[in-house]
Formats: sequence, C-alpha cells, structure tokens
Amino acid sequence: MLPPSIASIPEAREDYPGSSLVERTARLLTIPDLGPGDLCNIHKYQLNSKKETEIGTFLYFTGVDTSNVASIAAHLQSLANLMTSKSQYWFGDKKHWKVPELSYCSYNAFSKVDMRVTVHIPGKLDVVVVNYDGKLIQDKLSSEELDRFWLETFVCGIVRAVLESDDDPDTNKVGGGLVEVRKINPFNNGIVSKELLNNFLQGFEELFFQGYKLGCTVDFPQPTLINNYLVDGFMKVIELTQTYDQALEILERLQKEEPSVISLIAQVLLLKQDEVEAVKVMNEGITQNKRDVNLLILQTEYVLEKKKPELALELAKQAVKSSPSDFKAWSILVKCYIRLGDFENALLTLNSCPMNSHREKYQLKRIVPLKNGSEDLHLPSPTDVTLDEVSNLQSNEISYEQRNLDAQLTNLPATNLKSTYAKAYDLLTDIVVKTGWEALLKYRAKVFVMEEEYRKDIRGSVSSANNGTTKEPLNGAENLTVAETTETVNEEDNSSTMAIKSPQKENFDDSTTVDIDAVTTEAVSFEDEFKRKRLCERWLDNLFMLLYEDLRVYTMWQAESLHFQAQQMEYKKTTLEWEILGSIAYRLKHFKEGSIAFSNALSGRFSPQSQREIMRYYVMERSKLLTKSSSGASNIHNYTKLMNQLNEKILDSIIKLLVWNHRWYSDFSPGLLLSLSDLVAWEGSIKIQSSVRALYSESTGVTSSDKDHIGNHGIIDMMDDLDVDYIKLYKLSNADE
Amino acid sequence: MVEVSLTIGKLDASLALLLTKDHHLIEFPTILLPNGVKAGSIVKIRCDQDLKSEQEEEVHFQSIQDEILSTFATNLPKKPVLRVKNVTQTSCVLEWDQLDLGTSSLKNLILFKDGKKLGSIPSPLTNKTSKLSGLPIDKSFKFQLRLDTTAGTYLSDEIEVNTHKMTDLSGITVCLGDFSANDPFTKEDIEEALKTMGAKFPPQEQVKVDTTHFLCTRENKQNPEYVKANEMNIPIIRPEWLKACERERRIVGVRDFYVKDCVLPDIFAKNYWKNTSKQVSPQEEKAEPELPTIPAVEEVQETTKADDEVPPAEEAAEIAEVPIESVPEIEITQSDEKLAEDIENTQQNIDDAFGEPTEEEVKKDKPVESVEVSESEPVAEAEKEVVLEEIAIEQPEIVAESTPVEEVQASTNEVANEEPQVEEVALDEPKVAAETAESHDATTSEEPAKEELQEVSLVEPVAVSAEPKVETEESVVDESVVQDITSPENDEVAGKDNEEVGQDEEDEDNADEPEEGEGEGDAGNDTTATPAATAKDKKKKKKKKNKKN
Repeated sequence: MLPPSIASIPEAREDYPGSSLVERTARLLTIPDLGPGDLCNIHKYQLNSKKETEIGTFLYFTGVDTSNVASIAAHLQSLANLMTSKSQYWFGDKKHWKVPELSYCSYNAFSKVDMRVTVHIPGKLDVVVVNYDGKLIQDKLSSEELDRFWLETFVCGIVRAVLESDDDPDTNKVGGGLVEVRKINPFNNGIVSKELLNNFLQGFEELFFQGYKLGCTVDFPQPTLINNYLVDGFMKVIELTQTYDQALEILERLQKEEPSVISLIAQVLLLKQDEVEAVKVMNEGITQNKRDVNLLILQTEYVLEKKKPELALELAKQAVKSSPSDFKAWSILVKCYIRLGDFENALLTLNSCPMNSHREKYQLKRIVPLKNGSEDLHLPSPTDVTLDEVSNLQSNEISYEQRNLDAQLTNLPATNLKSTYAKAYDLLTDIVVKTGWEALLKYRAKVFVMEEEYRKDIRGSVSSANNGTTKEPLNGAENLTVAETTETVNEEDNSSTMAIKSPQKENFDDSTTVDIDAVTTEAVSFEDEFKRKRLCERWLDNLFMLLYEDLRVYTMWQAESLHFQAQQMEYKKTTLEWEILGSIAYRLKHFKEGSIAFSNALSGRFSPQSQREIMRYYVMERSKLLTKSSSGASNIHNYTKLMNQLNEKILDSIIKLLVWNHRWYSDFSPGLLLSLSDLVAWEGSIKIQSSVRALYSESTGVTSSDKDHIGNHGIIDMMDDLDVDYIKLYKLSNADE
Repeated sequence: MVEVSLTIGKLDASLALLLTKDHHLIEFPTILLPNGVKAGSIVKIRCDQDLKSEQEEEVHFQSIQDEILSTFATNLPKKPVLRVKNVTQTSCVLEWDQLDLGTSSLKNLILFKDGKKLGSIPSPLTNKTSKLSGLPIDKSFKFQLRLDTTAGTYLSDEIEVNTHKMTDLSGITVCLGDFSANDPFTKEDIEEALKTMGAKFPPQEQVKVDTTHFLCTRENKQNPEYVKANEMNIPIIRPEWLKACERERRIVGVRDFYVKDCVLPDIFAKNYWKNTSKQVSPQEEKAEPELPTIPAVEEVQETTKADDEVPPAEEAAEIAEVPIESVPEIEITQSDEKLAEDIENTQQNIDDAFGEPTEEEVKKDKPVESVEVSESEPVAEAEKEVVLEEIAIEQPEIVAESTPVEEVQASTNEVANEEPQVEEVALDEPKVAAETAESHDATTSEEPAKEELQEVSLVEPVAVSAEPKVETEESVVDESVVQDITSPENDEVAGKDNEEVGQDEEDEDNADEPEEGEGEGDAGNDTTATPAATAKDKKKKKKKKNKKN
C-alpha cells in the first residue's frame, strides 16, 4: 500500500464544526440498501491564530477496516498526524493546522444503525451508536450486541467498497458528483489485509442469512438469500483475492443449512476455472430442485457460452417458468432466441420482461449536501504518483468541450437509460446488429399490433358493438382531419417509430364513428391474423424510438467520415464528441468503429471513459486472437506481434486509469485490479514489472531528452506496490512463477 | 376441475377484459378466445391440471440435464505431451501433440524452463512447436508446458534437453534456397557435406521451425522460403559455411558467410569446394583400388571399411556422374552405387538386401566417428575458449572492484554514452542505461557512485556470462532491438528466453532500416557462432565505440 499523503485527502468545508454529523443523523431514516460511504468529520484550527477559529471539514471513506473501535481510532489518529505534520495549502493560503477532534461514522445496513467513533486529541475516545431515528442507543447494548454491530458494520463497509468502486467514477469527477471521497484498497496492506480478508469471510458466513437486508441489484425484484449485495460483495472479494478454496469451504458449510447455496458453489467453481466440477454441481442441484432459478440461469449462461443455444433455450424456458418475475431469467431467454436467430420470439419475450424502474445500480451518494457547491471543496492534487497527460487534465477543457458540443449528440436519450431499461436496450441492439434495422421493423410488424391495424380493429369492434362503447364525438371531427393527414405522411417514412399506444389513440376512437360500414368487411379478413399479435409494451416501443435515434446518428457519422476520407480531409471532432460517438457505436455493438472513435478521443486528450472502453476492446480482441486458429510461421509471427501489442496497450490503459483514479483519491479499483491480474496471468509478473520499469523510468537518460521535466512520477512504485502487496500476496494467477 | 362462465366486457387489441359473476376482472389475451366472439359474448373456461404434460416436460427436462452432464462433465482436457524436435548448440525446438481440450476452452498455454515461466505460446490452438534460442552451450534444461483451461490447469511431463557441444554438428538443419548456375559446387556437394558432418539429412526444401540455416547463393525475394527465412531470422548463408564447419570439425561463425554481405573473394580464396575434391581425389584413388578387393559377403569388414570409404566413394560417384535409374532417394542411391561398385557381379536382390542395412550402419557409425575425431582437437579448442570466456567474465568484475570510484564512474559514463548507440547490446540496455543514466545525474556525490559501482559489477558479469545468449537473442530479436525498451525481461535470464519463445518482433516505429541491417548482420553471427569468438568481437566493438566516444 502506498503511504498516504496529505495531498491524497480531499475535504469539504462544513457549515459549522460538526454540522455534517447532524445532517447525517437527520438522514439516517431515509438511507436505502447498503447506505452511504463512511463519513469522516475533522475539526481543525490554525496553530498560531489569535481567535478561536475552529472550522470543520468532512470527507467520505471506503475500504477502511471498521471491524473494531481500535482500528478506526488508529485510522483517525494517522489522519490527524498527516494533517498536523505539514502545513497545507488551504484555499490558496498556506496554513498549519491543529486537529483537536475527529469523528468517523460507518453505516451498518444490517441493523440500520450508524456506528460512530470520535477521537479527541489529546484525550479520550468516544463510541456512539445512532439508530435510524437519531437516538443514541449504545448504553442499552450488551457487549455481545455491540460486537455483533461492529462485525455487521465491517462487512457492510467491505461490501460497499468492492461493489461501489466498480462503478464508473469519472463521471463524478467532471460532472460535479461525489468527489470528496477517498477509496482505500482493503486488500493491499500485507499481512494485515490477509487478516482482514479472513475476518470478512467469517463475517460473511455469520451474516449470510441476513444478507437480504442489504438489498440487491436491479436484476431481481427483491433481495433473496442468494441474490443480494452481501453475496455479490462476497463473490467480488473471492474473485479479487482468488481465495476459491476457502470460499468453497464456507459455502459448503452454508449449503447444509440452505440447499440453494449450491448455485453459489457452482459460480465459484466456474470462477476457479473448474468447469467440469461446476457442471456436475449444477446438475446435482437441478436434480434436487428443478425450479432453482439461479442454477438454471447459471447453467443457461454456461451452455450458451459453449455454443449450444438449443439446449440453453430449454433451460431458459424452465428458468422463466420457475421465476417469471425475474428480469434476469427473461433476459437470458431473449438471448437464447437471439442466438438461435428466432427474432420474433426474441421480441415477444423481450416484451414480456418485467421492468424494474424503482431501483438503480449501487452508487455512493452525498449524504451531506454542500452549501456553496464546489466552492466548499478542497481538492488537492496528489504528487506521489503522476502522469502528465492524466494528472494534468483540466476540467475547464472538458467543460469547454461540453459547451461546444454538437447538438445532435447532446441529448441522445439512450445514454441515460437506467436499470432494466438499459439492459433491455442492450438486448434490442443485440437483435438489430444481427438483423439490421429494416428486418427488425418487419419482425416487429409481424408480432406486434401496429397502429394501422389498431385503428381498423377499433372500427371493427365499434361497428359490431353497435356504437355502444364509443365516447362522445365532441371535438373529434376537427382533430381528425389534421391528425390523419399528418399521420399518413409520417407513416410513409416513419411508421416504424409510431407507437400503437400513441397519444392520438383517443382521436381514433372518436373518428371511428364516421365511416363504419366501409371497414366492416375488411375487419373480418385480417381479424384472425390480428388476434395473434400482441400489444407492444410502451417502454419497448420507446426503446425502438431510441434505437432509431442512435442508428441515425451512427449512420450519419459513418457516412460523413467516409465522405471526408474520400475528400482526404480531416474529420475533426472534440474528444467529448468522439467519446459520445464511440459510446453509440458500442451500444449498437459496432465495437471496431467504437474503438476507432475512442482512440480518436484519446488522441486529443486523456479521457478515463474512452480509456476504459478502449481497454475493453483490447481485451475482446485478445480473446478473439487467442481462439482464432491460424497456422504457418508468418501467422504465428503476426499473432505474437499482435498479442504483444495488445498486452502492451492493455497495460498502458491500466496504468493510466490507475493514475487517474489515484489523482481522484481512489486507490481501489476492483475492475482494474482484475484486469491487471489477468494480464499477469498472461505475461508473468516479472515481465509486467520490467515493462513498467522500461516505460515509466524516471531517469532522463533513456526516454526523454528533456532533463528538466519528467513526465511521470511514482508509477513504478505504484505498480511494484500492487505487485508485491496484492498480486504476490494472494499468489494471483500463479504470479510467483 | 374448475369451470367458469365469463362475460367479455371489452375486446381490445390483443387483450380482452373478462368479468366473472362475482366481479373478478380478468385480463385475457384475445388469442385464447374462440373465433367470432365480441364484446358482450359469454365464454366458458375449463381449467384442468395437465398431469400428462407435466410428466412429459419433466422427462424432457431430465433428458436435457443428462445431455448437459454427459457432454460437458465427461470430457476432461488431457495434459499436453511435450517432445524435443531438434537441438543445436544454442537452441532447441520443442514440439507437442495437438492439444486435447475436451469440452473446455483454452485460457493459456505457457512454457516453463527450469520451473520458471518463459511465456505464453502464440496461437496455441494450432501452433505445435516452439523454438527456443539463446541457450548456453552444452547445458541441460528442463522444459514443461502448462495448459490453462476453463476446466483446470494441466502440466506436461518435464523433459530434459541438453544443448550440444561446439563439436556436435548433428543439430544443424539446413534448408536449401536458390543457387545460381555457375556456383562452384552442386547440390550433391552440399548433401555430401551434410552427411559427412553428421548434420540433419536430407536438407529441407521448406523453411520449418527447426531450420537452423538457410543456404543459397542468390537472394531471391520471390522465393517464399527465402522470405520466410528472412522473417524468421534464420541466417541466410552461403553453403561454403558447411565446408568450413566440416573442415574445422566444429561449428563456426556464420558471419563471413552471409549471402548478403560476405566477401566473396575471401570465401573463394579458401577454396572450400575444390579443397574437398582435392582431398578426395587422393583418397579416391586409394579407395578405388581397395573397393573391388573387398569381398561382398564379409559384412563386418565391409561396413567397417565403408565407414572410411563412404564419403570418397560417393564423391567419386558423383564426380563420375554415374547415371542411376529408378532410385528416388539419394541415400539409397549412394548405397546402391557403392555396392554396385563393390560387388559388381552379385545379384540385384542381394544388393538391395545389403544396401539398406549397411547404409544404416554407416549412418550410425558416422557421427560417432566424427565425435571421436573431434574429441582430440576441437574439444581442446573448446576448452581453451571456455577459459577465454571465463577470463572475459572475470575481467570486468575485477576492474570494477579494484579501480577507484571515480574511474568507474568515468567508465560508466562512457557506457552510458555508448549504450544508446550500441543497438546490439540490447539485452542489458534498459537496465544499464537506466542505472547509468541515473548516475549521470548524481555524479557529483560519491554515494550514488558507489552504488552504481555495485550495479555495474552486477550488470556487467551478467552481460558477459550471458554472452552466448545475448548474441543469439539478437539473432532473433534483431530488428526489435530497440523494442527492448518495451520488452522488459532483459535483466532476467528467464525473461530473455521468454522473448525468444514469443519471437517478439515488435516493429516499433523507431526501428529504422539501417539498424535493422546491422542487427541482421550481427544476428546471423550467433545462432551457431562460437561464443568466445563473438564475445571477442563484441569486446572489440565496444572498444571501438569507446574510442569513438
């Protein structure tokens, strides 16, 4: 673990000393699921000031060991030491602080209490437990209960750390999101973190049956014993530390009490790369309970990966039958149909997916509002690890790009899709990338009731019902003509995006009274076919519309770019614009085009999102390359060349992103750590290490001729640190070889 | 069984609203309603449990489960089977059977040398060989393959490889390229030389993974084999090299024999081909009178003598250009020929019967003979060279230890100046350069200088003792020398070879043409060049550079 410095601790000014704690207490009642990050409140005053000018600041933490009072106190003490040992630039002035008091709050989502430790320097240590309505309850607790609370708090803390950090943090930094947060890697601290890991695993076993209290992801309607954040966090920790055997032991013990744990065992076996055993376990579990939806989904995914969509389809059907309200079961069924090329059924099943709009992906949120916005934020730049292009990225450059953004790109609604809608859209693009837009429209018209048909149907039904059910044709007549003419025009070129549940529905109802007789004969002829069709859910209809928008922008970009190419002109866009184009291409599964856009974006300036996306592309390319069968010496030659290039680029991306995260006070990025250990599995840690040394050597002799300025600093230390304290510590991917 | 009557309250697109008598409101898909119903109609619904379908589905589902189990849980990957295909002084070619992954997917295939990770095998699904060059001469290594799959990790058996001594020419595997019409030798001469040397016979027609040298006299860029050899960094040399080896009874440097930049007059001056024919001719004269005297039936005698006589006899045959009909392989030709000469009057059948076994024996004996002979002279030479090498190794160390700090500093400065230019010293470059460069900054203070002294003494011996490796390394790496900045494992022996396995050639943009040329020039030096000689060469070069600086 890199030694922390004062420059890696962001702070926010509070209204008056301690006000953040009051705010937090007030909001305890409304905290959902896992809760917010740990809050640290700091009182400080200037050493040589005359008046009593104590001010208060606060920041959030994740990944701190909160398993007991002592470790929190130690953490606070070291924080105070950092703050007092050196003078600090504080909003432009150099100030030397004294820190008399610090508090640390950690939310316990199991028992819905906030655990608080206050350290007075010099002096005593207070422990306070605040329950959800703000009452102090520590005096009523037995020491056993208190121990239990601390265990729960600790497990919550780790789960928050591993689940949250996976989220894209960069949007926060630029867009005014939560930035006053320091993320510490809990697994990167030598022997201490091994102990911490053991504590966590034990805690998991103990609290397993309470897991549902932590909430769950959007894939499931409500948390269950198997689907909840506690289990997700556990899985992530296992993956990060590759402690599969230990995990299996724990899960086997739990399985004796709760048979459905078997699906977790199968998952761990798959992670462990022991798929044969996993297949056996899945089979055994399903034989015991053939309605275990988690196992069924897992098995479906596995079989799909093995390219047996026919088998997978049967499993997915069974999964849906077993749990018709799970989005995940339905979505995998859609995937099976897509793989089989049965797009009609894919659309129908997609239409049946249960949507979940009230929940979002877990994310750290501000619990204490900033009174004066970003003016209250003290955001130093860490100097221990820097890389010029990354660390010096200026936010005004980005906001300039934002202001001058091409209007076409600004408000693409597909960007903002959340939860199950985003996933459903993903499925829809899976279909369109296989069929193309025109064909998709045909499939759509075939299975869903289209607007025109709907109109006919209404007329038909009205005629047969002897005008009994229609509403009063009051203002209908006038609207009708207008609506109809515009409709017909639109339908010519744009019938695709017309919803049958469009707002004009009422108008048609009214209009039907006009010419009933003309339609009745037709009505019978198409009635049969019509009856087989279904109504398209409104949200799905909306997704079609978004897809149309995306495709339009994408096609335009491609055409323009071709045009410019033909004219031998430079096709110029800002980084932000490229990034948006890249995201569109990725959404539409045109990864190659997307990667081009992202690399264009990166050629302008560093952008964490582009970097991350392009890394994803490299990893995809690498696995494609691995499985591609080609022979011959020159092919092998090319293969080696490509593979090395890809690995180099991946390493480069990882390092840049690590530096970026470090600049924003985050030293814990599970996703990057997984990529790194994956890379180590490929290349061996020795090779990675010397690559880093060669690329980021700080001596001026080799890489740069400019002796005054070194473009980077501390990267070798950072990577060595990860190598020794993380990869070697857990013997990841046989790192010692 | 349940039976209800329901009134259709509303018939909408695809959905109908049904009402029960006790005021349940049921949304019902119109597709399930009988034809012709309209709003106001009354429909009757019967609900039964369909036990039969339930059972059918259960059976079906079970069969799927069984299928999955039998498909994916029975077929385990097999551990890879590793073999040695060819060994030379500094390289070896490993070969393995087609991987059997069962139903699992491949994650990685990694080669280990003496328990250390060398690197991933490229194109593991199709590639079945790997060439390792840059190995030290006459040493033994253990190799092992590790197969990572989604169904676990599988290790091959460990195999041991001994790199050849300088005098062992059996690893030489040549591929023949284009020759011009007026060359002072024939293809048969080459084949003859190969046989006498005990090299792999017959020569290859296509460049393969185990090809060590590409022989030609014409640089034909149209010839795909030539291009391949060039790409694979196989030294492209004149066949005279074979004769030079043959003459010295040990492997000699390829440096002077590059087709690209050899000094032809020098080669011709040595009179390689003529020489042999001269040598042969007296023997030939000797041999010929002897031959007829050997009684064909006395096998033992014949074979023993044949050992001595085979080459001349063949030579003679070739020179005489005795036409032989319907004999496809040269080997057989030769034996046939010989026997034909030996026993002119014996029956054809006997010819054939003896022909092959004798040939085999001859083949067997020959290498032994050559080794025996060579043991007397070249081994001694080799030993001398080893001694030389050792001296070479020790020298820098001694210098480093004994000279005062400042001097070392100066010299390292020189090194620092020199390193970036000396492209061939690729291996240690990043490290040395980096460290020396560091020292650049800190030359004023003594402490860093001392540190540096240590470093130098650490680095230098590695460089020297690894000389043979270094050289061969370059042979493969050559154009990518610059890339060493990016290829990291320079300071690790394992790392070096790692690179080899991959045959990393990254055409980084910064590898310019002239360097490549130089690199190549050097490259060929190595695969088989004598270590001492090349080491000396290197020394010289360094010295030269120093002078220049």
